[in-house]
Amino acid sequence: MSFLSRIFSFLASFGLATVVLTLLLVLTFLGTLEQAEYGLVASQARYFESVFVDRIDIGACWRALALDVYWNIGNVVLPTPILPGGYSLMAILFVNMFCGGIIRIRKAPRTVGIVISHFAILFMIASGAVTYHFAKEGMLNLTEGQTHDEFQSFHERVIEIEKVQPEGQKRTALVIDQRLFTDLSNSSDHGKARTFTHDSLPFDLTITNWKQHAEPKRDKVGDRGDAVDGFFIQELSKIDPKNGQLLADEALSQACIAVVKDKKGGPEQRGILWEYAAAPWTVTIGTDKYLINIGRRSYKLPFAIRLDHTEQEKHPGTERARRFASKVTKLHGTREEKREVTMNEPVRGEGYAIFQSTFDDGSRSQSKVKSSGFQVVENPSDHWPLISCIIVAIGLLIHFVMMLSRAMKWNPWIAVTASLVITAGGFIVAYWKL
Amino acid sequence: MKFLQPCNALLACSLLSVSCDRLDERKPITESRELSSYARKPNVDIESATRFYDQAEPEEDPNAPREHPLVWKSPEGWTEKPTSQMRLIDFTFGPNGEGECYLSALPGPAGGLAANINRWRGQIGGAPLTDEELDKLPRKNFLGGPAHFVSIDGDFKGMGDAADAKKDYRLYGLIHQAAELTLFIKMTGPKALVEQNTAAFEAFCASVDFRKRSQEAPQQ
Repeated sequence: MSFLSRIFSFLASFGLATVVLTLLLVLTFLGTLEQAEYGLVASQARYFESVFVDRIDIGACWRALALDVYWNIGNVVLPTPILPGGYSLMAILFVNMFCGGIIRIRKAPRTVGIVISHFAILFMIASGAVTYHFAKEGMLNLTEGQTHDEFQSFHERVIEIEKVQPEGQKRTALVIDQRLFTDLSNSSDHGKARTFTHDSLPFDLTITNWKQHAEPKRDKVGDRGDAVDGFFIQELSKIDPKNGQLLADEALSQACIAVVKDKKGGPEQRGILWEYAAAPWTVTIGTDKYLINIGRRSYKLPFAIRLDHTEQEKHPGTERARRFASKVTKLHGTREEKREVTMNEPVRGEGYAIFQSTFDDGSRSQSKVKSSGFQVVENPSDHWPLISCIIVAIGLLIHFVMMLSRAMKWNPWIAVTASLVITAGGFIVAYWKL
Repeated sequence: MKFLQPCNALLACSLLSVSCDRLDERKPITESRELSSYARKPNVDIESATRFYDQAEPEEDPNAPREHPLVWKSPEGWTEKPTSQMRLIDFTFGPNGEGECYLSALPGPAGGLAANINRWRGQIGGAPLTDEELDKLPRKNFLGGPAHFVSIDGDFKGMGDAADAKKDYRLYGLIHQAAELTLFIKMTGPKALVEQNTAAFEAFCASVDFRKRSQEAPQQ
């Protein structure tokens, strides 16, 4: 057997599939346990979206299983990346299923259902990869009469640097992705810092002391060595005091220290960046001004949305909303298109779906101005999992009917055709009636 | 099992490929974006307190002199003494400062009207008043409401012994019971001296007001 054949045999083997599926089971188990202390987004990133699981918090898993009642092992962390992440395992599983379930499988009438099902599972894995790499999801808040063509990510944070331009000029910002600064966190690693540079900037920007959930506090006594302009970063608990649960990622407010070093040797400037700050930090270099802030990543829509009117119906005698809807105008340059967004009926188009998410009649924000919050989703593989599930079902149906017809000594092709027609008819009737 | 060997090799390669995390490093910024024409105008040169919603007034210095809660007019010829915890306004008067007049305040009913008036009477040798007699006490207008007034003559011992009592004294007392506190004005001194300063006492009582209320009142 040649070397290439051996490689192919290995990649197509049941053994590899078994190992990968077992590791996926372990990942799911550990990721679910760690989620109790780290939250959904952090666990998802560490276990299911990573190439390797960078560390495993055994202590957190132990506590999630409530084993600390019997034996408290404390904070035990396995810092070595010994476990492949979900991304790698799914990639290996894709190759394994493609080699074993599509190429190597014996092509015969009785395996046609299996091949179809394998193909559908490959399609589902591919849709997961497309979602991971290309889907965008976020929020767009508009007050009545306001127009915007950008939405902000729920989870992705960035640091942006914008040079202040005269009014009317095109505005651009340099963007630093969160992956480049969220490791500058641990207070025990005091001094962790990373410097960001760009040719167009007259300064280098160093980021340090990043906190996932914090707020600036005034240094009243004035004796803190880490105070910047009379404020210091106070780390906050990620436990919601109302229910004792871990706060959702979108409720966290990140903060960090930014240090600007003039390339021409001017004085060093320090500022605190905070996600909920009322305004960015302003840096002056010579006669130019730069705005630096940390916040949610912004995505541009291919059209603008204007909120024309909001409507809210409440359950009689209560303050609970029964229905809220927004009349909006989609603006494509000078062309206008009137649409209505309600809770269960999003506006779809140009690859985007816009859902009514929140509503404020002005009392919550105390602004007396009505506003709507829209969840915006752009996912090229939005319906792929549904399609792949249908194909898996068809493949398995074909396979089971084939096996049944062999046992019953029926004509397999007539049995398969009849079962597919009956199933399709059932779907059509259900769709028509529902 | 044979398939495990390549698995181990794959795992080992992956472990080796994990890069060491370098910090204090320099990274070029590679991403930029164009801001929307609908984006909010930039807020430039905003100070930290505004950026962080910290607009609270600076905390009061506990050692800083506090504004007196009352306003009043000092009678001519009276000498104002520094206030104390018990005496919010304190005067002496007379050629040798033998007369004194002060205002004090206690929270709530402060023991009640009868107990306080009879305590004063006891200090100057007077017998306690009955409820009937208390009801008949004159009222003076004070802080916009009626206040019980007593005038008692006798030998004033104050808080001391009867043997040390000062002979032929007079005590004026005014008690104003408000919802949350009781205010007292007490004036003592040789009878003749107090008599001479009766008008000054009444003028002083009439002049006392709460600072906040006096500031809110329209200018006459």
